Amino acid sequence: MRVWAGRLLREPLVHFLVLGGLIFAANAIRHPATIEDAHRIAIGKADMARIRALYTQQWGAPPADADLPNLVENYVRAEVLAREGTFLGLAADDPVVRNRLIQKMEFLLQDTSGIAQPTDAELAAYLAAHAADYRTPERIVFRQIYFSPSLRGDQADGDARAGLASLVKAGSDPMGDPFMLAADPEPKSRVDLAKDFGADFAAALFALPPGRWQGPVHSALGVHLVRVEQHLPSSLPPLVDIRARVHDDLMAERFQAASDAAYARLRSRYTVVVAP
Amino acid sequence: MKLWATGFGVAIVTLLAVTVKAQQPEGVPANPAKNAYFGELHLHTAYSLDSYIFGNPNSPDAAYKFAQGEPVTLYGGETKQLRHPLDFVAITDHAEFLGELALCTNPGSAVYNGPACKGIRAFDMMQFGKIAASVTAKKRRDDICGADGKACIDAIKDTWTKVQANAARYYKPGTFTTLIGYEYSANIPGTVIGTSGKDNPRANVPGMLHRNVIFRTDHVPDTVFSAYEGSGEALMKWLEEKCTGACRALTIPHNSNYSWGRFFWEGKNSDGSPWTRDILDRRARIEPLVEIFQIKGSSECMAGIGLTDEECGFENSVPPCPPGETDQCGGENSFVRDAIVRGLAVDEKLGVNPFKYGFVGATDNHDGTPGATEENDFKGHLGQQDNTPEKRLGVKPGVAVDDGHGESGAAYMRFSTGGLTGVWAEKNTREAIWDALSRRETYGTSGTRIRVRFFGSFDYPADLHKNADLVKTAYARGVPMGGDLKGKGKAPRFVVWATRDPDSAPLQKIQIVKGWVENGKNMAKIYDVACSDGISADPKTGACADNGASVDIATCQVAPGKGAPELSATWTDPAFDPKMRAVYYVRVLEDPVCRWSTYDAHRLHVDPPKAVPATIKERAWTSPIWYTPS
Repeated sequence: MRVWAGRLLREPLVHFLVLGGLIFAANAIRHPATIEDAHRIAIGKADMARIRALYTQQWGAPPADADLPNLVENYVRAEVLAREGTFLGLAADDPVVRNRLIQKMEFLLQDTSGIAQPTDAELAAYLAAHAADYRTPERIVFRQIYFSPSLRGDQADGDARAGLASLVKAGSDPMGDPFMLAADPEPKSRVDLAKDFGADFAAALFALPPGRWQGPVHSALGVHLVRVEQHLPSSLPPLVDIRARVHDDLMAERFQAASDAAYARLRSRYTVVVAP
Repeated sequence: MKLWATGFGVAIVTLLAVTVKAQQPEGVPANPAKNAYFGELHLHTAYSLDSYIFGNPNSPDAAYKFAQGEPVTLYGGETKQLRHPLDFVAITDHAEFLGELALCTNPGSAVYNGPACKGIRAFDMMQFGKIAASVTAKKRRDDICGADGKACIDAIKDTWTKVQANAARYYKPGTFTTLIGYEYSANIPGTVIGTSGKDNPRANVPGMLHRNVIFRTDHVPDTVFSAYEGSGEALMKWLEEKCTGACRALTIPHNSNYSWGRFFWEGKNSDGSPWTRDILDRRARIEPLVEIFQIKGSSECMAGIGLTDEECGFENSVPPCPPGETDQCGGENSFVRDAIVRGLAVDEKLGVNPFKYGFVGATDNHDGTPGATEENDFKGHLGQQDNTPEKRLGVKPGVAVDDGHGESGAAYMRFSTGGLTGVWAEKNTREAIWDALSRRETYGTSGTRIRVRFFGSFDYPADLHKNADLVKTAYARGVPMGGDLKGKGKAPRFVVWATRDPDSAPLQKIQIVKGWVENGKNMAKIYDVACSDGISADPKTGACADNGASVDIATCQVAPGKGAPELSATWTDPAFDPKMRAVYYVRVLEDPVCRWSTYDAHRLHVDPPKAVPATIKERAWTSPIWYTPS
């Protein structure tokens, strides 16, 4: 059902029908309904004032009387072309115009005036219902010893293996190479590790049992011996720590629901017939 | 509470009912060896009038969420998400239009239903053009702001308060830093705007003398100083008068490549008046950094203009100036390398260096998407102006929207995805990040997340780069990027060290760029100090042979087996003269990858455009280290 609805919303015919309806409605409001009236351009006092104001704004002085016939003719020309273009359905064909129309309607749908601020209880309920979105990621604390392919060439992997052997035997840290990230002691999530070491290394490290030196593990940066010290499990922070974020998300949901409901009211006026 | 009224498609709505006090940085652990943090200090949202009028739907809320890794929707409905979150960001909306936009989007304002505001809300570019022209003329539009401009000046304060509240809400000390800032955007009056196009690729825009203002904490002045109020020099004076006590500010100029020769004018201020001592001193105090790379291209150097090398042809988005011309083209006084070398001579002559710049990189995008620099996922940067591959490449000229840069495809395809800033700081807090900016312990990148260290000292061992205690020793006995070495008669040693971005290409080489002044002439030499694939620099030329790295243009696959995950070296200048001032900075080059325009061409099933290279060598530029004889 959802897939079908999504496809329907993307269907040009649907857009055409919806927009056709909107344009028809707009025309019905702006212009009398008959063809004859549609070809009548009435320029009232307000229109003349607007023509004068636009001219004044553009040129810094009001138009002279002699300019007026030309200004009126320019206005008429724009109006004729706009109407003819609308009759021909050009607005519906033009993706730029169509997008603007849709944007304007979306805005009209976003009437936020009736949306209430959530209470604490509502926030807590929202957090409970969406706990997965707010959990901190699982993280690990680890140490590593780096063997640089740039300094050791093809020897890096072999040196790391020899280093691990002596480490296991003697119980002391073998001397590795300087490592750019060595001094950063913070626990790391999979995302953190993928960013700095590459995704493969992140996956490998989270699969290792803690408490002993292992490897070599290869990353985008080179060759490592690693020792996972601690797994920090994922946890859900208390509401007080993430209140602003939960509030925003709940309000965003309410905005969306209001907008969806407004759209649904519009949508209910339409019957859509899709050719078989 | 609806703080800003909405424009259609633009929900400038602050959801929170109360002003939030920023979290405090106490308790965040410090790493004395410092971490590299990635972010940017130049980003526009729908609070900027140009961004708004380009149809960008993203407010600061969306931008802060995007920076932390959440997806946002762009104009046209596409979704964009960072591959990895940023560590810090400063949102820098244009100061100039804050009041105008506030009045025009607030249904309660007196001018809301006037033709100017209606035009702005209808995305009428003519209305935007008029406001932009009013900035150049330094006279606010009286049809929006009233004859004395007061309505707009008053309206700024409300928005400026929201800017601060937004930054406070998203600041998470230790995880994500938001710095309060804005962009000051003065234009050069009187630039002749020609007709650019296929035969005239010049940038059809007024010269830019733009700066970002970045504050250290939430102690900030109660309003902003915009180009309506005065020149860049006046901005700095205003900041020193209004930002006192706990308030600290720095300014970062950008797009010197679009300054039509004015940013690094020796002897002259931006308006052409002669330098004065207090103006120079103030610039040296308050302006430690320059933006070396962004969407509108590289400002490092330009092939054929001033001090150049073969890598100066990188992402030049304007053509070089013909002799004797300065407008809408790259010329003398417009590039960072020339400026920092000229600064040595100015320092020698006057005892102050107004061009003592460290480097940062940024996007300057107007979609509210900080750090969106990936070549393979570029979705434009100017709302409806360039939101499709067709518009960006000018493949269907009938659809492409002209933004005043001339033939739109020709202009947009020369733009880049934008850069990032790397900062070496003890922790990820406002104070620590800002202090690192202030001491220039920063580097700019072309969008990649290379990590690069650069230290100098008279007292380093010859193989320090292999020493496991490298960083500790380097700090204890020398200075990091952005620092000064005062001469002791012997040649300093430099340690350089870079690691790749796992999501970009391996490293090709590390270069040190040396600048000095000889017989009144600016000089530069490029040394390749660490090369990949077992290659050594030619001792005569100082250059490494090409490592043969390649990328298949048809698939954008990088041929495997070339380049290095990290490179390092301890280096001494072979031509060091202890009596000569010199400046050294590092440039790290990656192996080539496909440029965004090539990915776009693939999406459209057309050949990559010939006007720009099909590939790009992403890179990083560290802040310099200055040598001064004692």
